Amino acid sequence: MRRSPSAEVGAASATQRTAAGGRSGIGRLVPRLPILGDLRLGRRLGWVIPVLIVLVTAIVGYNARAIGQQRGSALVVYTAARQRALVERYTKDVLLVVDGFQADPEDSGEAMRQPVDVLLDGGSVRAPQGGGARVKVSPARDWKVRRKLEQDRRLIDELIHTGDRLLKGGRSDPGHGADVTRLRVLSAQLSSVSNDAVQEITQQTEASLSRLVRIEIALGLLSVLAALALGLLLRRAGTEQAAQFRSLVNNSSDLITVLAPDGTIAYQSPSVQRVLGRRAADLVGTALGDLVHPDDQHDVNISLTKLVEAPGATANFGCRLQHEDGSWRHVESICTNLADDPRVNGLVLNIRDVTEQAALRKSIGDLLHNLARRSQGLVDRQLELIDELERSEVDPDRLHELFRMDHLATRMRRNVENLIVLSGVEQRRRWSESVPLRDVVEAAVAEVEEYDRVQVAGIYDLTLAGRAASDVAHLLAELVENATSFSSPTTRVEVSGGPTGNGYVLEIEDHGIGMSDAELAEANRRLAEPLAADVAVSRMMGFHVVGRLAARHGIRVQLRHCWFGGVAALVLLPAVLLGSAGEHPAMAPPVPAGVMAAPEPLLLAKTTESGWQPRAHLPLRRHAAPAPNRGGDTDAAAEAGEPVE
Amino acid sequence: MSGGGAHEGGRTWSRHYRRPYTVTGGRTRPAHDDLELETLVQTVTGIDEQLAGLGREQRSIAALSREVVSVAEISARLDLLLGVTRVIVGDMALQGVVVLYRPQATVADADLPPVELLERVLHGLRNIS
Repeated sequence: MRRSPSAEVGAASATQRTAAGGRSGIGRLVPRLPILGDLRLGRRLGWVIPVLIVLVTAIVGYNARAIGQQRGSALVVYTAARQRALVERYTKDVLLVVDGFQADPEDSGEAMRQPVDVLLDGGSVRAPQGGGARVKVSPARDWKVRRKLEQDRRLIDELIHTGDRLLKGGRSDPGHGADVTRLRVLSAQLSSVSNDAVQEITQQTEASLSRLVRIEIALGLLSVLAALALGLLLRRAGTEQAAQFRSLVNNSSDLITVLAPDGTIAYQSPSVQRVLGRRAADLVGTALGDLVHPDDQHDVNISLTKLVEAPGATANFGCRLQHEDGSWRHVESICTNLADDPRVNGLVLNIRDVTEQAALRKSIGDLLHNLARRSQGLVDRQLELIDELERSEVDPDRLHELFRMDHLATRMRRNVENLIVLSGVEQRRRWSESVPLRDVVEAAVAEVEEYDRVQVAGIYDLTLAGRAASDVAHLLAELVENATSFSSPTTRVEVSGGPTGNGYVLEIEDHGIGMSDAELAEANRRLAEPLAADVAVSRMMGFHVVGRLAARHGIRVQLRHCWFGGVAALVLLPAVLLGSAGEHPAMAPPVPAGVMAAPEPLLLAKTTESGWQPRAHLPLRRHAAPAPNRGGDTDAAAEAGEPVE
Repeated sequence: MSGGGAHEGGRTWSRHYRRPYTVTGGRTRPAHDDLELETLVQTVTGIDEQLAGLGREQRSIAALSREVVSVAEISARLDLLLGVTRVIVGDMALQGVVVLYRPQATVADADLPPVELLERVLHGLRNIS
């Protein structure tokens, strides 16, 4: 019962975990807008997002273009201004040379032409910031500007022509006076035309800039509108989601309760009306404990107290809560400590009404109990009959057959009585007076299939309370059965015992291959929590039976590794179940009780005795003898039972 | 089967739950072939330390057999099945814990009472019990 089923379950759940992990991993790779939450919301808002992106891109693009234009027009204005300065310098140079002074009008004439050419046909000019860098200028496009510039170029040609004539002719030339006047007039005209051109260019630039600004303002307004629409839609979606969530909470058959750290109800979902017939508002501020059945309060308190100390942890418990009409509802609660979450700041309980399941479970239990009780009566009668037959039988072969029948019926009785325990129905006490502990151990051995592999040694002359005798026998039988079925048929299973500070420890050791740490932990967990799901009970019946039986009488059972391999099951019988018998007072230092139930001819037993017997009880006695009244806890008791390496 | 303990309708828990087959590990055939009901048993003296290592039934038998007793008597007084008693006594004899005496036929066959008489005596005895 102990290895394969738990291993299978473990492996299956591990596979599921891996699969789940893989799915969520892929899910994360799918791009999603986190702000949009679910897919439905994303579809509805889908159009707003591209529109916003286009608008913002356009704004950025227009901005860049405006900046470029501004820079270009500044360059043009600079170039035009430079051209005007050159015209003035040329005129001055020509007049200076004519008047006989030193100057270089040829050079100025060449330089004068260049800016106009560049402005009209495109090209590069020296950058205004100097340093020899050159900046490209694109040809003027506007027809008004071009006309002014062409006029400029014509006037410059004429100016140069007039200047050349003046320089060649000198002061003696007859047209000298007229030419000087002409030069001055042309220069003034050029200045005026250049001014006009600059003005024109500036105007053009300004117009284009203001157009851009208007477009940008329009785009900005559109962006604001789109953002507003997005916000509104998001808010509506959020409200819808909240409403959906609220309606889920309100219409769920589960209760959602938030407990403040002091145990009062801080929030109660309205579904409590349906489950407990109470109004949520009335419950807020009252203690949850007021609703819990008095018999369950202790357990609930323990569960919640344990949980409060562990933020983020989750606990499950079942209890009964009182309905408004006074009846009790069975509920199961999953409780999470969210004290660290400032939005909750308490314990969140998800409570489910399982009254119907509980009733169903009880009726199934009753059915099981009735059937098992009938079978028990029949098996008891069968065993009595076998007893009588065995008593009058002298033929060894026929007695052997009777023993086999006896053994089968005894095992059947064990199963039937285990079923009665599993049915959960409290049964009347059949046996009231105490029973020798040794008889209980021997009865347990008799209930095991391979009873002839079991060696019993060193059980004290103690008595066990009659009410617990059958349960302890079946509990031991399960553990011994487990030990024999998971060890080689050629090895022994040893049952021994020894006193501890607060009871008596029985130890069942096998020489099998042992269990892994994980299997051992799982088995011990099942032993400690016998009230798990019913399906698991049927699949791993053995450990659940042991757990149930142990829980009924405050017995502790634990599995341990043996130092020589194999597994040791330790059963701590509490002192309250024990009494003294015969000459040995309870818990007294031991006198070995000797070997019982030697399974093979004693001649052989004698030779094997030295092999196993001392080891079987020495470790126990070593702990027990010096401190019989040690007030250790159950762990100490378990320690005492473990063989020393 | 000398269990004490709780009673239910005259049956004790131990009578109810302890099974006879565990006493001999399921064996029913004695190690000694000629172990009869009337075979007499006596414990060897001076083997007390050897007794300490024996089982519960073995010690009870050894204690009872300090005086010479028959196998049938042991079975009746210890409330052990006859078949089980024979197996245990046979083992103890092999171990040298007890010695066995076979009662010799002291009278000739012709002197035996007739079979019918014996049967009537047996019948009478059954009626008494």
